[in-house]
Amino acid sequence: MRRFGLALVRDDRFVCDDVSAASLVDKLFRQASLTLIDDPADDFRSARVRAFAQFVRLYRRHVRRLAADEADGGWIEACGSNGRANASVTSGVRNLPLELREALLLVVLAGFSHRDAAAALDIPLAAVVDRLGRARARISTHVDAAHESTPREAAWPNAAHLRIVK
Amino acid sequence: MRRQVEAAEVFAYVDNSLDPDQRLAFEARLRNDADLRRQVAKWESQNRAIRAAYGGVASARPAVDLGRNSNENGPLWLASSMRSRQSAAATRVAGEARAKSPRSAAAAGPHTPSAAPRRLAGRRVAAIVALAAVLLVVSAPGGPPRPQGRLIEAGVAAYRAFAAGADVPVEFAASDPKTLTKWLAPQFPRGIVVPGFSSDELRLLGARIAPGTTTSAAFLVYEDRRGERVGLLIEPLDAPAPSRPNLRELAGISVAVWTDAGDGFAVAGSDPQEVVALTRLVDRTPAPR
Repeated sequence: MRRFGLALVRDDRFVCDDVSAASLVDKLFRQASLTLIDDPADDFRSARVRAFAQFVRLYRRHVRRLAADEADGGWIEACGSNGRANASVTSGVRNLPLELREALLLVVLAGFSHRDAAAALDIPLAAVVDRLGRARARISTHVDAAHESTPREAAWPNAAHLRIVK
Repeated sequence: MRRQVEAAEVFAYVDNSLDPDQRLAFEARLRNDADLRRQVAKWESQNRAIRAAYGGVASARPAVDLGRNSNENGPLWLASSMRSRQSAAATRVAGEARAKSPRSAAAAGPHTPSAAPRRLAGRRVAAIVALAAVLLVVSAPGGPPRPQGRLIEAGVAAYRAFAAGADVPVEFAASDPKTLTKWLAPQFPRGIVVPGFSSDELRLLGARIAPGTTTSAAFLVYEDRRGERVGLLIEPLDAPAPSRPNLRELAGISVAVWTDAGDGFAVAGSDPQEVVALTRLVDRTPAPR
């Protein structure tokens, strides 16, 4: 679950490094555990689904609050970027919208079945399948595009300020 | 529409979300459809890439040790002596390398060692490196799981401390699994579900928080008709691969360990039959997948 949490919260928008991600995940874990105290589940499966669901819910609330702060003109440090396309799958996952990222990571990283992921995210099964399809297509496109642009960048790392002089 | 349905089936297959019958039917189709095979291979490779990319995220915590370790083929005394000799050799090599580095030589002052001691030191380093290489080859991984796994050790330690004697009280006495689950909930973010099974042989006495392999664990104490106690240690772990129960004996205590649904389990007791009985009861309770 910690691995899922770290992968989910680490985006290129609000959480830019692993240390911040770990501290946010620990905070959300504590909150999730406090909210689940009075309502224990009946079996392993439902306990797991509910714990992940609570974590996802709290993280969504956290993101909404940050987005609202950003919209109000609040100061949020932007994640640094070197301007180059990153060909890694990690970068593709980080660039996904939250609703696609959480569905994909629940299924692929946490090993949830589609039905359990739908229960954890509180959405219909068809929506989970749709989100998985979109997430996978986006990552595939991202990796392909990055691979296409990488050789040129490697050959001309500072091409932006070079000019052809006749 | 048909393509959407097909894509949904492919996703369900690669995500292991198909029922057994559907899976068999899909695999039959897969054998005759090259395009389908290509799609499955594509998404499976993407899944593998994502898992590999995030595999090291939680590496701050050591992986669970169910008893598999290096140097399993040799006897235990040899394993421990090899480890200590390896570390001593490594320390000596590091120390001599430090002493021989130009920076430390400069820091030591104008005195430079003569050629003979330098040759001697070089031979010594070569001998140590050769010895370390031999030890590394001898202690290559392989063989059956060793009995001193971390989960085994945690289970045995918890049993010795909290369940070996009939007069050791439990921290929270309750025979209702739901009450114990609720009591344990604040300690574990993901929640620990106390197995709810009915048995004429074993009676649940209560639970306590005990040290696990990397973090705290729930330790449940059961008692049989003769008053013998059996302990069940449940520790939430970071997505370990599921494994079947593995029965071992350590210092006169029988212990069965396995992982399932993100938790590590260790059943410990002095009577192997009781340990096996409790393991069967716990392992039969509903699992997440």
